[in-house]
Amino acid sequence: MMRLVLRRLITLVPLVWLVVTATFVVVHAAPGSYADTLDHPRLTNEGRELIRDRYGLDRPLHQQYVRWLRAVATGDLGTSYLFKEPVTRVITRALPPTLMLTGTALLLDLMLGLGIAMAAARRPYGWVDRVTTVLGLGIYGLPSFWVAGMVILVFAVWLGWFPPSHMHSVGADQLSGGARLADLLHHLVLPALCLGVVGAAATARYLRATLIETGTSRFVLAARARGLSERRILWVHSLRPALLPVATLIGLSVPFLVSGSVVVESIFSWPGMGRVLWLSAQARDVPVVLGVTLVGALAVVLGNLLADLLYAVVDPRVREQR
Amino acid sequence: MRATTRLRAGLFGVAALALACAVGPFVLPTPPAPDPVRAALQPPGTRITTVTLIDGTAFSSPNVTADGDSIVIGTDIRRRVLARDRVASVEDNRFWLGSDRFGRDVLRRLLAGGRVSLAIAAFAVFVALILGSAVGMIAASAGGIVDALLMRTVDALLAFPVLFLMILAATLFRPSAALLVLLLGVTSWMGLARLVRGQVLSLRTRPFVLAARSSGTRPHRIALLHYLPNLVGPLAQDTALRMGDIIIAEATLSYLGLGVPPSIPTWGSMVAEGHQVMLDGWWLAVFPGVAIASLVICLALIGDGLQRLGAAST
Repeated sequence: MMRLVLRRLITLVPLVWLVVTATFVVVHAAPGSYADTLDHPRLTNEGRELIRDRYGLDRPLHQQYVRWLRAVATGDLGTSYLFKEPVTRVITRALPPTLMLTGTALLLDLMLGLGIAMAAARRPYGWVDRVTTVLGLGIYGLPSFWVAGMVILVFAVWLGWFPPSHMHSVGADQLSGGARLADLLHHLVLPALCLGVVGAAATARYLRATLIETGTSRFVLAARARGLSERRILWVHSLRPALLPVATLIGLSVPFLVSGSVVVESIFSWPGMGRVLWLSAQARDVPVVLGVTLVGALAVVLGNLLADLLYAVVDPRVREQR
Repeated sequence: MRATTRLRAGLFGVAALALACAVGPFVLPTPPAPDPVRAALQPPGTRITTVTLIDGTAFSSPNVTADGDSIVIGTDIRRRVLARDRVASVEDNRFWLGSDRFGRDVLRRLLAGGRVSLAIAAFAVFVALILGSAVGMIAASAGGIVDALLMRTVDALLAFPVLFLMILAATLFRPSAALLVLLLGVTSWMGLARLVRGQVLSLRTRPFVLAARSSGTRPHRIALLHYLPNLVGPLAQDTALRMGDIIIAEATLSYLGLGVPPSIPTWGSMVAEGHQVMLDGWWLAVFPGVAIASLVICLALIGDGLQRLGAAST
């Protein structure tokens, strides 16, 4: 087990390096730089040159690359051109809102997905199964940006139940702790719903298949032969092995948890990682783009590792093999 | 639903949508001149009357009434009274899906946008198919270090959130239609490569391939004549599902303003326009979204049906 972890941690380094280097090349291969995105009317060409010089944008690419890599090795991700503060601070500020949003969405996704799958698998091809399958298929086809817009139109504009955007109401910092939290949760509902429900459709589809598959296995047949109730068979005997892939799902969701969603965060003006990437990519804010990509790449690799480890923890058969 | 029912429903849906987009713009009557003042943001089903004057100017409005010797266009302060002898023609048009804020017919734009979305997705799938098949076949036939190298690259690429990379690249390069096809294709071939490699590895040991190889058939002939025909089934199923993903990805990029140039309507950019005037016209965002969803669902039905048929036949 320990050796597995160590081996995986060592292969992690070149992979992350590869991704970040590729991003570096892509960002610099694109036409224009931060200095060209500035459009202040009083900014002269000399001014642009000065900015290029100050940020080192006029240096040869390999020099910029080595300089950046050396800084990263010491934990320094540089300073954002756009936000005018250290990239690490930009990221640590954007991470909690994203984690809050994606964490809630993932929870909703798994609970709803599992619930629907359980209801459907109780009687495969019964009417519950048919209805949820068709609904799931319908939701699977919906693009998230469209769902976000519809949800805002219906629940924020027509019904007025939830605020359409941002994390806090205006003047929320004047509120007491409890009211502030309630305000935050109130703002969280719509974006989390958007991400969670769309995810739940896929999760339910997947879990339904595994549940029905375990339902035909021999240990379930044995349980049924011993006269156990169908309810007990579903909840105890079928559910446990069917939960194994959930462990993998959680591990593979780590990148989503950390990187957030560019689309949903932009539509709901949620100040998270996706929005930071969106803003920084548009402003050619190279340090932030690279920083966010680095964090995203780390999340992917660590998430994969976590998925494998979780699988080994919950499934004794996997543990024995290694 | 049974496998064949799914497959039929999906194929029918995709064919109907594609046909509508292909011939719709020819079949529908020519659009009236858009009138952003009087005919903008009319709800679905509105009858828009276009009055063309002798000098060629045209006015479109849902409220056109005849009043003795004159024709009255509009009702409120924008109303306009025209003498009948100045009018060359009066023409009625039904805007089944409403009009946008420039007074254009949403249905017509939807069909035109569908052409762009469908064409881009089809070409992108083609790029992905070529890349995926090539890499998969090379990896499987070469084996050893080449195989390991290619497949580890695939693993690495598969691990990364594709939409994230796509958005980054599209923001930086502002793609044209061709570049967009390339971008979507290049980010979607990895799964196909895995699939092809697995299939070829299992085909390699089958008697007919062994026979071909022992009789000295060249590798590229084996690939084309023996591997490819046997790959069509699994590839078709995977391609149908992948095309759905590509359509959503293309729509997302268009929605964010990163797709084809804004002068060309696509379903994604139509939703974006609809969101800007969401409060005045819900139909603008709703219909293109429904179009995207129905196309993706039909593709999923095809993929599902093929998968079940494949599972049933083995």
